[in-house]
Amino acid sequence: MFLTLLKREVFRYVKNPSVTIGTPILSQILYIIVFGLVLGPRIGSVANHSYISFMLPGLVMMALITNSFMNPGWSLYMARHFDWIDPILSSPMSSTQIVSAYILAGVLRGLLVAAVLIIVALILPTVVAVTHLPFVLIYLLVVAFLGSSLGTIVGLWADKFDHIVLAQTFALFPLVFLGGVFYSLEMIEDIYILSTLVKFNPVTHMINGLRYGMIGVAELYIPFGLTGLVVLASILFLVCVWLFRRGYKLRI
Amino acid sequence: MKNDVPVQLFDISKRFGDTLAVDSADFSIQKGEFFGLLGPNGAGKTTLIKMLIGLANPTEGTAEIFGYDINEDYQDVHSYIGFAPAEANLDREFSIFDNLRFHAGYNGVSPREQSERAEQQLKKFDLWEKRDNKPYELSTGMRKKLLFARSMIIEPKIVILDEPTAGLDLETKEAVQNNIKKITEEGVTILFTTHQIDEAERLCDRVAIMNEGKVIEIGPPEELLKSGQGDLVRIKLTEYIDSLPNELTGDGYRADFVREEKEIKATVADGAEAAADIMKILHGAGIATKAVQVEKASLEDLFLQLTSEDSSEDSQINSSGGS
Repeated sequence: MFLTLLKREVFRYVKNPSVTIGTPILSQILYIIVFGLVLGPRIGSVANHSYISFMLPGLVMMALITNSFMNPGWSLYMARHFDWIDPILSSPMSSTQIVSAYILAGVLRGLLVAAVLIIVALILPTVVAVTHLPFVLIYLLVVAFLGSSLGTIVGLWADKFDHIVLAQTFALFPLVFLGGVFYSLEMIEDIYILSTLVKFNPVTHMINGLRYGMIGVAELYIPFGLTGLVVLASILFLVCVWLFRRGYKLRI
Repeated sequence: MKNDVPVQLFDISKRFGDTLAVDSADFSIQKGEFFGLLGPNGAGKTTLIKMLIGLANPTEGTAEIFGYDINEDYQDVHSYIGFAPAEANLDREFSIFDNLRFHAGYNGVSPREQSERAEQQLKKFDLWEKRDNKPYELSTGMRKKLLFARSMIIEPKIVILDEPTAGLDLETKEAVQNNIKKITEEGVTILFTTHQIDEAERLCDRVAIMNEGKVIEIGPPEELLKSGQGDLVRIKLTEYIDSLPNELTGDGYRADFVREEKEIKATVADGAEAAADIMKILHGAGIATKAVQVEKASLEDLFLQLTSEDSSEDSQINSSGGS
């Protein structure tokens, strides 16, 4: 039951690779070209690494969280809008199984995009891509899970497609862009408010952790960040299950 | 299974704000029974069904499917029910073959069997040629058949069909009705809703008539006809009238003026006696008549009588001038 729904959700994006996988990869490659290869040499090294090596973990994280968020968000919204969620709700699947299938499909899409980006980065000269592999894997998994859980909640909440875009534009993008994708914390330490707020931004800890895994540089305390992210992801997952059990915007 | 009763309702109600969509429904459906839910739009039929299949939360009361509570044991409950909704809720992103395969999978059918059953159902409903089409590429009739096929792919013990023949041409309607009849022969319990009273009268073992959320009558169609007012009196008039005489608006008659046909219709217990009486009243009021006809009332007449009675308690007679 769970596997069928997971298969359905994965097929949904696999059969449309140019839109669901190609587009995010292309946009991230453009970031790599413009910011890494064109502007990077002018910026110089950051934390003893080329700018492109420093920026890459942020770009991977940006692609990962956006894709794992969008997949269940969009898919659930569509399923509710066209009522094809009803046969799923009327099946013997439990709420936990349904939620897990939606989230896992989002996780897999996020990981797929992230993996392609890392492979592309490995081909580029002067890029250090993987220093601590276990950290890379753990952070990719935790963040994909967190993003996908968040997308599931938004997919339930959204009454129209604009709501998903709204959540992405006003919540996800600011957090990602202010999470240190393009700069180190050292660069903003003179801007007190920003440097303080950024430390409370979960995305900063995501990028910090992945950056440690990829190039061995960490500006924030890893155990604290990782624990916080695992707790946050677990809470979001439980919220998803609770909303499904309650039938939030699913049952009348 | 905890018991042998496919459907048992226990004073189940559903409220939306101030509106009571389903008001204390309390009846059971027996194994192998063909049970019809009749009622006008907004009577509460679909809401009642949705509560049984987990798409609506009851406000009060509950129901059991083979002894399993619809809320507490919903996973067991859902494994027994195949449901075909009135509006197509098919997955637009996949072919109709995949729709059936996935549906089987959601309901625990093994991957190998999913394709076999999908093929079997599509062939049974003459949709095999369309297997690679998306649901929105099918006609209304084909979509209805597909919904029916989907409900059957899990080999359910209970099939719930919401308006399965609404909007179909005669040929497709007959094909769907034949398929419904076939599954009753296999001992499957059927609960279906319809507006088409002739269909209910022909197919159902028992019917429940719903209006404004309440179940107002329940029983085999023939018994309901016996217990109701059994004859229909039709009186043709020579000209239009603005309103019915006051004597016809009392408790004795439930008359209805059909403007287009310049006709008065009344369902009564004894047609012959009532016809003479109504004629006398009409002539007394100066209304000229052309012809009188007394016939056996159908379930439709009873249905109209009961639903109009229920929705206008203080007015026993409807002057439905624009009908």
